[in-house]
Amino acid sequence: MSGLVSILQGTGRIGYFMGEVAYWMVRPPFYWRETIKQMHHIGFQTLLPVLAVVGPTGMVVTLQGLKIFQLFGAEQMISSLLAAAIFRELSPTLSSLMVSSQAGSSIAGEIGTMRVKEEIDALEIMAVNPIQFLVIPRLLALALVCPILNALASFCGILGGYTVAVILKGHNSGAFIANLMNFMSVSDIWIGMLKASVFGVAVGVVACYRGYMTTGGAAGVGQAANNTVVQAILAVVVLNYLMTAMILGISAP
Amino acid sequence: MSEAIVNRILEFVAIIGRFGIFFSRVIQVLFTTLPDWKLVLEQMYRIGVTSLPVIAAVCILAGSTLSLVGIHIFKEFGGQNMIGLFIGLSCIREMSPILVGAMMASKPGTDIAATIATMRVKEQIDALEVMAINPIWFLIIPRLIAFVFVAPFLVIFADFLAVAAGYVVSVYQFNVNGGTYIADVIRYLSVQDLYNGMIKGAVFAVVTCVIACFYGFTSAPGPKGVSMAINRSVVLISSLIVILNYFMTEIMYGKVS
Repeated sequence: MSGLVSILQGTGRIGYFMGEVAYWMVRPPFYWRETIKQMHHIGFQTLLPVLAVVGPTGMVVTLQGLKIFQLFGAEQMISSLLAAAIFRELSPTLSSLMVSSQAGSSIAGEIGTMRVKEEIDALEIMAVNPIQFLVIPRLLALALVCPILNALASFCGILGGYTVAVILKGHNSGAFIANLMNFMSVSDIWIGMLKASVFGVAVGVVACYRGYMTTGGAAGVGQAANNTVVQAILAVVVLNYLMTAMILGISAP
Repeated sequence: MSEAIVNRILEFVAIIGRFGIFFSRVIQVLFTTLPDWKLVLEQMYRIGVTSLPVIAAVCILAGSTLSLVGIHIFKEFGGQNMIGLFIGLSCIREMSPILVGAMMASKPGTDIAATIATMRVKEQIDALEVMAINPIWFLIIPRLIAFVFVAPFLVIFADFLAVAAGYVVSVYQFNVNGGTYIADVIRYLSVQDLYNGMIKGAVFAVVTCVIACFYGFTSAPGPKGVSMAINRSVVLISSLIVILNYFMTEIMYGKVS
């Protein structure tokens, strides 16, 4: 019973937090400079891990896909599988996974440290709304930067697949590119970008909420960062399922 | 400018050196002393049982998403009935070891980094040394052993849940024949695939544990140091897992028949 009550309490708190964020998001002052700074910070911090994850994933998909497609004698079609997997699913999910472990944990750590050192109370005393100054710039930055990261990651994944299929396994380069162009449409890329943006906001909300509610010294900050990573990844996976179902439902023939 | 670059390179080399010394000390303690089995059991419970719900949730959703996407793609070829092959191969060979690795990095991994970093910040590790208890023996070895034994079982759970979720979505939502699905999974997968997944899981476990412990051990003072330790360890572990996965896949399945 107490477990149920605490779940309800947590849901209520995060709902209240999101309501407050939505309330303050449309009201001045807007801290644009802070937003740009966060975009720079998050983008550069997360770029390398994202590329390092999606590139090898493209290589693995190609490696396994070639084996499966050999069963039908359709190795030439590998790039269509690769494109569908990378653009629509793997690149958005994996890059937001890395965003949640890199940017999410660092945002939770940063805001948590400020909470523990009473810097957030200091902001309130200086009549600066901490939600407007700390939370909203980070959320906006994540929403804007994640699609860009996702685009770079998709490119890197396709490049990884190309490396394995054409350079290592010696398949035809022209067929690879032609199949890629045939089966892909620009809407696939937009869907991936949209997904990445939604996941970015989800990661940001979880990270800011956990950091904002930190209590209890260094151990509390560690706890907040830990919880952030786990819950952000869960949120991303759940949202991914729902969005895939919705998008495929909409675009079904 | 050039001095800054040189300093960064030196810093990088220094971290690698420190990691090498740390790792060799762990190996030395691992093979020269007997572990405390009670601690190992406790860590097995903490790592395995507490991260099972998260892994289950992620794998169930991954399996169902895969089956949504797979059916959508395979419809174009008119091969919806091959969905069992697609889900079985992708989940058991790749997805579940990687997802288990990523979730191990983000739940028990960050937990370990946070715990050890907090102990470092509160000088509890120095206190252990004062009491003549080797902190590596007391803190790291039990976690390492627990990780290596628990990870393969987590992979098996993940395999089962992902394939089962794919079954539920494709059979009950898209009316694929259930018998065909199961027959496909059995026909195209061998027990060797399961073993390979378990081996991958164990390797990822070693990477996770050693790096999380290293960053926890060498964390800077203060709450900021703790959050830095978590951040760096989780990012490095996830990237390493994916990169290692490529090479392990190449070794296990790379031979073109």
